[in-house]
Amino acid sequence: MGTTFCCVNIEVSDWISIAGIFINSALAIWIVKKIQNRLTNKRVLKDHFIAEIKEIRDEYRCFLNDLYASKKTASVIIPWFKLMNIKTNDVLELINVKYEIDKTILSPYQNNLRELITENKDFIENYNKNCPIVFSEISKTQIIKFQQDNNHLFNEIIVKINDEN
Amino acid sequence: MKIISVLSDFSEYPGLRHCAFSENSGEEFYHSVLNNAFKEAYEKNAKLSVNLDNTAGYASSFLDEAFGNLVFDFTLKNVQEKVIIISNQEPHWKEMIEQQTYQQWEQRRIKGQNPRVTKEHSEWFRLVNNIMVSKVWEQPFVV
Repeated sequence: MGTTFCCVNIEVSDWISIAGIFINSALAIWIVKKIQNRLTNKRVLKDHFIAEIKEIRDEYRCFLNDLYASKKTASVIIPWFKLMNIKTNDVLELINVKYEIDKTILSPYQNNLRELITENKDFIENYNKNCPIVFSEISKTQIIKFQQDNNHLFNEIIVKINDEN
Repeated sequence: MKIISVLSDFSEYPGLRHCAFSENSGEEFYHSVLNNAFKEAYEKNAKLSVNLDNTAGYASSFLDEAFGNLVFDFTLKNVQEKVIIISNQEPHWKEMIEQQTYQQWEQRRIKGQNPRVTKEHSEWFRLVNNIMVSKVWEQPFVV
């Protein structure tokens, strides 16, 4: 019942085996490609969110540096906090849905830092003057301490995103 | 329902807590807008919706002073029943007002720790034994 192929007699069962090999190979290639694509997609998304978190961190750093250097007036500080909060909320909302990371994790930066600045004596006394606010050494120390206590939060988010399967 | 918005009924640029330190303060907002709006809603047995969105942003002290005075003058129970705070852009504010400001100012009210005013205001409303009374309740505190 077999066929002759290059002087070799191939039985039906052999054809079935050969077909099986081809099908299995094709399936394996398809699965590997599919998984690869999925992993690549996951990685791309993770990199994107990590970049967003780094950008937020850099904006806070830059803002605080400007505060130390007395480059900010009261009239720009409150609107800046609002815009940053909206931006940060958007990113954290997505990260929460995708990786189940607590969306209030940056609350110290979003709320406590704003309170620290807007309740600050130098800020209040210079609010109406519309000139750059010069923070006292005591105020600067408070702001530096805030940064020291909370800077790790950005890295925590990055590690959590990275560790997610 | 009575609806007010900080942007259209007060200012795009809300200030700090007291009139003595900033224009468009929480104290000013309370005395020029919020107190009267609540009184009208209360008398009509209607809700009062206060929209915080679309301004340039807030200092927490502005909101604390405005909504705190509301609790002081009209009691926590009435304020919780009547006031609906809209803060879609910064949901944190609604949370802060409802969970911290309301409670702290109700304690102040119970203990009789009167609010400070830093400029002279015309008469405003306060509930006294469930009767709406209008008068100048506080004199300016010298800062």
